[in-house]
Amino acid sequence: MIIDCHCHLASSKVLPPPFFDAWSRTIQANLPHHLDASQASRVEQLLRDLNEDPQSVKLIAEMEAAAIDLAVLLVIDFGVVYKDLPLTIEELHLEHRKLLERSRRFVAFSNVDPRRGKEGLDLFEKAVTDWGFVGMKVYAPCGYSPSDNRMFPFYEICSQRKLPVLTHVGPSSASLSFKHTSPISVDDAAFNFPDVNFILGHAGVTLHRQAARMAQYRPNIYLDLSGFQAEANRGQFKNILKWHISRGLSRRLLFGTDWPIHRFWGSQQRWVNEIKDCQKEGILTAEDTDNILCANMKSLLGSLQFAQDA
Amino acid sequence: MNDTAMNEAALNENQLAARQILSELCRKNLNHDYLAGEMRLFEDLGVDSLQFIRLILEVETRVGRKIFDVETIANLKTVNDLYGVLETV
Repeated sequence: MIIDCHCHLASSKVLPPPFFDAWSRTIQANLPHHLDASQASRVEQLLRDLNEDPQSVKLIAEMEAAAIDLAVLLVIDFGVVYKDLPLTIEELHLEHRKLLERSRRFVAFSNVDPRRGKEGLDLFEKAVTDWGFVGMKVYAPCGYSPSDNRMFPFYEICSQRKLPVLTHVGPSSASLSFKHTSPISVDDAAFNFPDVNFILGHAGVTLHRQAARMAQYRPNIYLDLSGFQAEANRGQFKNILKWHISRGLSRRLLFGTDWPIHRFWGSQQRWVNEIKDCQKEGILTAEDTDNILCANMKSLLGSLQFAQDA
Repeated sequence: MNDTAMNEAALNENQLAARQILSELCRKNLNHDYLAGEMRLFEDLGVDSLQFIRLILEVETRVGRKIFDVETIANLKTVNDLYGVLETV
């Protein structure tokens, strides 16, 4: 069994255009020469095209080809930072729920910006109680810390229900804040809620040394490898993985792809094979590979009834 | 498509242009004659993500229209894959 711990529903209703447009501006600024207007517009269009799979048809096809059995869809509440979004936060959750009802290949983590107050907390509770959401996403680039006191009532609910929390680590779209995205930003939360498991999104590769240090010393911290695609293309990923394994983190690493963000760099199948190749090359044992691709996330999802187990 | 089939005579105008663009981008100081079809863009030629985007943009600018989409880009792994996209353009 293979579980992808980090995916998004690829739709402009879910990941809004300002997110991609700011990313496009970053790429343009990092190129060694100015693009003309038509090339700049082409970069913007290509990035927006990544996000064109509103029914998840392409994602499901890629999961089938890659033998990925289950993917975790992460809701992101952009409603406080981006204006004029097409869906309310409740509608955004229901958009994900439609897919959950259509396919057993997905589970979803809820996300509500803590600045929404009591109403937001109630919505989160409804999502995990009535709508089948099985975890919580925290998106610090929206401008709040995962260790903000306003997050603690959410973690209380996660603690009571044994739900994992996945929080983004590292930079994001330039239209958002990077202030609270270091691994240490999660520390107060992980310290105060030792029975809640915190997954540091991308931190298997982004700021991975700091993140690994936290995982080594806090048993409730896990590292999501999504974003490893860029490191794989640079030829750096296997060294990073060796580094984690040598520090005893086999049971804390989670396979994730961050669909649709890295679609340009290859198929979901390629990314599964990248992990499996590490076993062929002796970087991972069979047990490590199973831990990363499945067992660790399965354990975090706890009592969830898996299709293959049913 | 093997390298023999991909010799200069077999390449169309757009494929030749793409080869030239790639050899200039990949920072390996490779003469384009040495760009073998089987060479992998990332692992063998050291193309990074920004160079990859430049490759897409410059090839499309040279061809004069949009020829790549998300799926074709995701399947561009080797020099031959790039030639393949340009075969019928």
